[in-house]
Amino acid sequence: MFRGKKGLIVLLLVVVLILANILTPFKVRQIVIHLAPETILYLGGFKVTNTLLASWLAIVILTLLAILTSRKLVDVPKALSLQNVVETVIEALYTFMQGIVGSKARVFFPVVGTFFLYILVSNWLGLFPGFGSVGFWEEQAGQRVFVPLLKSSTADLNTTIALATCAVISLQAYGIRFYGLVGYGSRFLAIGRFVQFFRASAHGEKPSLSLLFRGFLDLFIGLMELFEDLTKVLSFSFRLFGNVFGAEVLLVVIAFLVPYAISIPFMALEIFGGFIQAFIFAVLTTAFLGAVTGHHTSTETGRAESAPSAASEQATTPP
Amino acid sequence: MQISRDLVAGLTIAIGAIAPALSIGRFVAAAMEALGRNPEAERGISTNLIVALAFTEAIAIYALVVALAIKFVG
Repeated sequence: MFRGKKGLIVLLLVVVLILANILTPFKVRQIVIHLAPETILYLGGFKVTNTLLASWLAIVILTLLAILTSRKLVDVPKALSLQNVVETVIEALYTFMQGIVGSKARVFFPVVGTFFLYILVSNWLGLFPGFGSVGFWEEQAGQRVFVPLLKSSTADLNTTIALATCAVISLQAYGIRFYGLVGYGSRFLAIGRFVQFFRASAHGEKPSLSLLFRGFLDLFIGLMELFEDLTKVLSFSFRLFGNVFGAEVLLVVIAFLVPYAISIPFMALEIFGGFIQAFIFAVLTTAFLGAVTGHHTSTETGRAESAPSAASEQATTPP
Repeated sequence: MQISRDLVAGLTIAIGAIAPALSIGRFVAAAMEALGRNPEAERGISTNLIVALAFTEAIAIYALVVALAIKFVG
């Protein structure tokens, strides 16, 4: 790949860059890591942080890619055309989703695909040269502090919590779409058995206590489901944030420990890790969507089954 | 003060990583065994494995986030 003159030029460039790095007066002498993003400018009363700027950049890149790809679509794209590459990525994700949720993949794909592409682009953008290294010095509390202009947007807890909230809200939206408000609401507030119990007692029949007990159990399970969805926000956001932020800290520490050479395999590791994190977010969202829209039918049939079983219980009790 | 903070941060991630590491090992061992017994089911096994690993890994990540918060915040 790099033979002859080309290789010489690349080698020269690398040596010049390393020399410039060693001799530069603008050297960063100690590691400074901030958990929170830094504010770079104010728009009115609105703080624009460096992670917000990076997320805008990711949005612009994805939008441009979408426009460029869909401008003129052909049936048989050329081997290395943009359309072919994008179609390959989309198709791979789509067939993978089909493996998890089957024919419902078509309904879920817009949400899950958006999560996947946005997180993937954000993670990989954070590895670009210039992210975290281009910035300006600022006086903060009498100290000179380096403020990077761009920082990977998924390395900010605000972004990941927003993404996780969107994922959990889309779970509820799809649940309501598939089962209606009342049908889906019975996931959190299952009063079907209570209604049966009181209807039986209103008809003058001897109500079974096990039905009442199972009614209380249903209420408790509904409460657990509610907590489960709330903790999903936490686990989604902390997983993504922790992984991406941990990767950034690792890269910075390695870059200061052994400069230039040892960073390269870790960079490769983080390219893979960024993909895996985006993939896991997409797969988990898909799996939860499948669970929310799929197994819910079992409670419906369970209710239909419980009516005859209650009747048989009454039949067995002596009059 | 700084030394004790560093110590606590290091202990947080060190202790917090033990249980997820053990459970990830068990998950992967079980998945490999299942793959060896039934290679056709690779798709389902690997999907479930990745999802289960993500859940397990999340616990280690919580410890990491807490450790980073102890180290760098405040």
